[in-house]
Amino acid sequence: MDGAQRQQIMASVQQQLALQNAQELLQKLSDKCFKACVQKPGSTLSSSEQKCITSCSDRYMDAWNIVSRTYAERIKREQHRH
Amino acid sequence: MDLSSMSSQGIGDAQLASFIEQENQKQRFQSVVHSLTEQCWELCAPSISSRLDGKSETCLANCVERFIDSSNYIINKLGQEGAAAVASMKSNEFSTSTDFSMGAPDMGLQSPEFASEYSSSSTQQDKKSSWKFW
Repeated sequence: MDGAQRQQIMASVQQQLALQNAQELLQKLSDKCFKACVQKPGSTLSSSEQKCITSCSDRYMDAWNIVSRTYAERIKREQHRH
Repeated sequence: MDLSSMSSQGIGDAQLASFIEQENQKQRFQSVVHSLTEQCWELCAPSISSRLDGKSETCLANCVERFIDSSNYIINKLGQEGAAAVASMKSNEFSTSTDFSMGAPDMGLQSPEFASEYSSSSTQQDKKSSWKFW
């Protein structure tokens, strides 16, 4: 396997993993925000439901970022301790 | 794509092996973040407004820290009680002719914190008993 092939494989793997992570985030976000915003499913998605889902999605992604940052910092701290 | 079953050993290409190891580590991290976000979201019940408020941010950060604290606590606690259970089992069930050279069964709970705590407590007991002779 030459260098270019290896680079290609590594890039492709990283792309697929990134996609997988985005999908997982979206799936959990959809679950939470549907539960929070659509209590009584009607024949269409109302504009207030849409607004709620938008806000909820923003908040969930903010939460994800906070958790990610906090967890990363905690790991760093634990590594320095031992 | 799931790399978790792929260990980096036995892969002759050193660069790929280290790449796989790195990506596995990143995926384990991401997996924990996904799961923690889901749980802490439920607990912290963020407000209806468009962006997270300070209270929710604090709650989320605390949630992450406390989850890790409780995981560590469980590992340590189970480690101590596991060793105590094994010690009492040995004295009650086995005769003196039993060969103890095999040592305690491996419960897979060998965390460094547990190991040092257990050995230091037994040396402390030795010190205490030598005091009685003064």
